[in-house]
Amino acid sequence: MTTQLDPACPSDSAGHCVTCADEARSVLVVSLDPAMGMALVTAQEPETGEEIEDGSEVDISLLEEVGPGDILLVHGGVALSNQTRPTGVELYERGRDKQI
Amino acid sequence: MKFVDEFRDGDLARRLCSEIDRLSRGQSLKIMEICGGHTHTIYKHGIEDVLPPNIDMVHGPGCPVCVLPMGRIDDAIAIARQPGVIFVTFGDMMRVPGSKSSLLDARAEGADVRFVYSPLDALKIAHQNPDKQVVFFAIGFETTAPSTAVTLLRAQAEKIKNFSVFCNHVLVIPAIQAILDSPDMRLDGFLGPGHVCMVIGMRPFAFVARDYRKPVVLSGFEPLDIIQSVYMTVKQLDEGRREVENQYARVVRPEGNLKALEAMEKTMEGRPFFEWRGLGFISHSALKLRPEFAEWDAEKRFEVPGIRVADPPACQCGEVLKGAIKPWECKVFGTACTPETPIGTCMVSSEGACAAYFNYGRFSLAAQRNRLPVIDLTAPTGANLKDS
Repeated sequence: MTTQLDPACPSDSAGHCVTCADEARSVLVVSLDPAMGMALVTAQEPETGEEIEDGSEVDISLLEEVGPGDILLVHGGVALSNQTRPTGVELYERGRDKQI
Repeated sequence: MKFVDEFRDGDLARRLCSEIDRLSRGQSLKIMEICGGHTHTIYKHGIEDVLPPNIDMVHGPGCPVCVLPMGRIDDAIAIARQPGVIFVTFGDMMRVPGSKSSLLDARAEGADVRFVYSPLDALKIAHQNPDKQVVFFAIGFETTAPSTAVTLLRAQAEKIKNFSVFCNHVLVIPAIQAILDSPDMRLDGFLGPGHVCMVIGMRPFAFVARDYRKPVVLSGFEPLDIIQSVYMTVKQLDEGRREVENQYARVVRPEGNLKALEAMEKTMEGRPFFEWRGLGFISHSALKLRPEFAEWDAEKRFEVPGIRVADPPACQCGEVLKGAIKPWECKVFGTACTPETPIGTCMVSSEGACAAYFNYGRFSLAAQRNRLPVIDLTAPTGANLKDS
């Protein structure tokens, strides 16, 4: 009986459910609502760079410090990490120079 | 694009693979990627094809959909079918087969089953439907449990009485220990689940290196993250080191996210034991709501059958989850069991090893090396295999 994935199933363009995958999605903070512990964010589709989820709200109560312009990793509507400090690319570059 | 292009550099990938080849010296090495997200990346980007043939990636139990036993799906369907209930779940759970049907079937038969990105959305549905009981089907590892915890704390603060959680959160560390204790297991190292580690940190993995003498590299999810993590694992083996290393330092902090751990601690506690599909009962491997949150506990609010259901005999999800066989070695892979008509949960979720392999891996060189049956794409799905 179970034949069709519902067309509204929250999968990304690769047919992949970011929530079920224990995956976190990068979003950019646009503004904060500190009283509610929420932030307004935008996100990009990783494959295409196309802006998606413009104007979504995420819970930021589990992060110490968040400001507009920060890049957060969000899972299940809740931000779990602030990627802005330290910058991932710099760390990676440092790591790869050391490795090879 | 920032945070993506840097991790998909083909030249760097080839250099890393050549270093892996040099360091491994042709020795056959089995490395388990624990997380379903890693499995998806490995298949989608053909990483097995660029790694030296002596490096065997073994796909672990890190897909939360795949490890949930059929009896718990039946319990979820039983709650969803009760009058006045709005049952809310993540997308992949809709198609997971229980012993007789799925949540999608229950919805087709009239149950109010909806899907969301976040448990907080379930709380909104409860606000909007005060005359209904809204039940959130909580699944996932330590990455997802904090969002359930935050939602429970909000429900408590806002005194929302028509909301409850059917809690099926599972824990990675006891599952790894069960795999390490399994007699048919021959693994040389692990790629740790980066986003779980973002929450729990590095320390919980220390026993793997200390007691079992296996390297663990906490890994990110882009193709170069995974190849670099394999390189770091092989380098440890070559140098005789057994450590927990953090490849995903741009996200994982040694201590994890303390606020997330605190929220989980406030709302949930360990179950004495929990059944994992394919791995059986594992002690202290799952979470339930604390007694202080009993009024939001769906297992206390609703009658559930709670009956253990054996997997279909043809399904070999258990062996796939333990890495004992590759997906294509299952008797029903690609014939009776496809993403359109899944028998086992590994074929339902796109993070499941079988579905990832069906969608991407069947075209790979690694598959040809292992004599994977070739799929004739012009034939109807479900009856399209012929031996290579």
